[in-house]
Amino acid sequence: MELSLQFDSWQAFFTMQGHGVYVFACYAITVASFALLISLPRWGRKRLIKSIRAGARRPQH
Amino acid sequence: MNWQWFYQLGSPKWFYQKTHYWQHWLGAFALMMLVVGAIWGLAFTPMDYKQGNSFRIIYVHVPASAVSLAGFYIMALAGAAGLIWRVKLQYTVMSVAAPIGAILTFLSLVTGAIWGKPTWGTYWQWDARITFTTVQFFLYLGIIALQQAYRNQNTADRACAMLALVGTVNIPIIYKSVDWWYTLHQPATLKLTEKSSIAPEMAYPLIWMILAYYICYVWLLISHTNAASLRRERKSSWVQALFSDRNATKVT
Repeated sequence: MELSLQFDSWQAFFTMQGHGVYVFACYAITVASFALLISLPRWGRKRLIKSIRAGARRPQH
Repeated sequence: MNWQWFYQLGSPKWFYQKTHYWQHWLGAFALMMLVVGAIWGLAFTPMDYKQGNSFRIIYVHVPASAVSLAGFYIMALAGAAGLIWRVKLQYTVMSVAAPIGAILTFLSLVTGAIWGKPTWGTYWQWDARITFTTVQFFLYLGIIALQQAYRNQNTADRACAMLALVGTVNIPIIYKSVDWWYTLHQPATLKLTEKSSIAPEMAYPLIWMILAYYICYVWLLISHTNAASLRRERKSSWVQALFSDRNATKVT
């Protein structure tokens, strides 16, 4: 199997003979989905640390 | 016989300590595989003679469908393990598998709709596979909603496990839908038992991407599970010790 670049120019790559809009929309949504999936646990962890530290600072009676 | 190892498998603390450090490496590896696969599929794979360049969507669409389908089984199995052995960690895995699966199913539906426009001339059609995948999306959403609906965590977990187990009925229907109803969606391109209907130059990047999605899924499942474990066990001493101000310098 031989790997070769399928497009002659950046222009050709981005337009993809009229299909570029569909193809790059899909890849963009994929990137956004993975960004969300990666961020969710990080946000949760940050929120939790904040609440634990806030709870610890509260005066104990 | 020593059964300690078995009970450790159900302990969120043990799981967190075992996975916390190397999960970042797994994540870096998964993302690298995704990037390589995307470049391969976008620029180095020959164009399809019938669909033109729009077929390049296959490399993000098919893996998302496959992983979201398998993710439902993983969620149901984790729920069943939780019901049988009454272990916390398995319930946590089940509860985080729902949002991950929902986002991946959504990704599969949206990329499929966009691919449908240049190929079939429509974004949506009441095709068997598309319809049952939408059902799967709502099942995932139902489990997320059910998880929030109960104040008692254990009740919520048990209810979700039941719904996940009942929902698995949908999985073989989605899987076989292209063979049972010959409506619009094309049959599977990759087959394990017979010759695939796809050229090897196009199949290798697809197999690569499916593998990359699976590795990424495992990583996401681990990181979401750990984040959820910390939240669920926030009152316990090990989580408090991890994040209290005294250890502030140790926390990364």
